[in-house]
Amino acid sequence: MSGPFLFAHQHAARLRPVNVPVHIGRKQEPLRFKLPGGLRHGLHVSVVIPVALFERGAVSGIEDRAGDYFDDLLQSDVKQRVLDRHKWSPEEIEVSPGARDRLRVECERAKIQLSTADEERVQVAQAIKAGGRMHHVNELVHRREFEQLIEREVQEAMHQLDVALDRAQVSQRQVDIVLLVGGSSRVPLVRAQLQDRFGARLVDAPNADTLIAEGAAAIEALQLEPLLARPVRVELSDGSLYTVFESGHPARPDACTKTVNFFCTDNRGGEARLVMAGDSSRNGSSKFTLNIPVSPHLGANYSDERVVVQFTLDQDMILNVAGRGATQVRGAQMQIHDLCFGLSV
Amino acid sequence: MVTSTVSLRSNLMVDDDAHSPKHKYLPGDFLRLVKPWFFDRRTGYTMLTEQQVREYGQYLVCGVCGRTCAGTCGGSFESLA
Repeated sequence: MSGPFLFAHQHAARLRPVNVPVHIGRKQEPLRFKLPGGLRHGLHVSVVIPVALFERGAVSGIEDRAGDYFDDLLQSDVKQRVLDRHKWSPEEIEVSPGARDRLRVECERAKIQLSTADEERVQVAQAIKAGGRMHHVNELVHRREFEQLIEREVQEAMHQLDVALDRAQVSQRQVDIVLLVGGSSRVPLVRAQLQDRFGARLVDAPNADTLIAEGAAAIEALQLEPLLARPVRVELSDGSLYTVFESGHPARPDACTKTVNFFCTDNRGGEARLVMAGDSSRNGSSKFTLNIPVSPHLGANYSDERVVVQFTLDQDMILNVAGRGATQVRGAQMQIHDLCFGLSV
Repeated sequence: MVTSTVSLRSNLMVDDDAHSPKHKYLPGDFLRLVKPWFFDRRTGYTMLTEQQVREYGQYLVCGVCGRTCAGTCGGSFESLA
C-alpha cells in the first residue's frame, strides 16, 4: 500500500490523531474522510500525507453538522407526517421536552435500523398533546424516504471530499484505501456515493462506531503526545522566514505560547501585515494574513511602531494569533485551525 | 475561477539585534521619505541595500526616456536619479 489512505475521524479536536498509531512509521499517504457522525463537531474530510510524522494534507468539512443532524431531519419529518395526517397546525399541538427526547432517541434508532432494513417504524407513546388528548406517534419510514431527507447533506459531504482532495492535490485515483469510520458511514446512501467514487477501495472498520474513542484511549494509554509536524513560520519583509515553533515542537498549550516583537517596515497603509507561511497549515499552499492596525503618521519614527504578536495554541489545536501596534489601542487577531500535527512515537 | 498569484508581502521584521539596523529593512521608496539623508548621491548610496536601491529607482523619472521606467528602457540607475 503506497497511495493515499482514507479514514473518518475527529469528533473533537483533541481526538483528531485517533488512528495515528496505526500508521506511524509506515510510508503511506493516507487520506481521511470524515462522514457525519456522533457529536456535533461537523463533517470533515481530511487528506493525510505523512512525511516523517503523520500529518494532514488537507481538511474540509461542514461545520456544526454531524450524524445527529440526520436524526433532526427524521424527527422533523415524522412530526410533520403526524400533523398532516391529523390536519393539525403546529400551534395546535404540544410536545413536552420529555416526549421530544423520546422521539429523538427513537428517530436515531430508526436511522440506524434503516442502514440494514428497508423500512422501520418510529413509535413513541403519548408523545403529542392535541385537542386535550395525548396521541401516539407511529410512523413507518422507508429507507428511500430517509435518503431523500439526507440527500442534500450527503451531496454536500461529497463536495467537501472533492474540496479536500483538491486542496491536497490528490486525485481520486491516487487514493488506495477509503476506511469508513463513524456511525453515518453505515448509511447506504453514503456508502453508495463513496462506492461510485472509490469502488473496491472502500474498507469497513469493524469497530467504526467506537474507533474514535478507542483511538483516544490508546493515545492516553501510550502517552503519545501531539507534535507539530510542520514548523509554524512567519514571512518577514525581506522574504525570509522566522520560525515561531519548530517542527517536532510539542503541540501543547503550555509549550506553544510565544510572544514576538516585530517592527513595521512600511506603515504608510496604516497596517502591518503578518503573513503566516503556508507550510504551517495542513493545506500547504494557503497563507494566512493578519492585518494589524499601526499608525500611518510616524515618519522618521517609524520604528517606534513596535508590533507585539502573541502566538498561543489552545486545547483544540487552534493557533491563536493576536497582534497590536504599540501606539494603538486596538489590535487584531486570527485563528488558524488546520495546523499540521502528528504524534510522538 | 481564476486564481491570482499576486499577494501582498509582509511588512514586518523581527525587532531584535539580529535584524539591526532597522533601516536596512525599509522599502527604498519609503526610506527616501523618512530618512532622505541616506540618498545623498555623494555617498554613492552605500548605506542602502541593493533591494532598496531597486525599490527607490522604481519611482524615479528616467533621464533617458522621461518615464518612471525603473531602468527598463536600458538606462542606468544613474540616469534615473
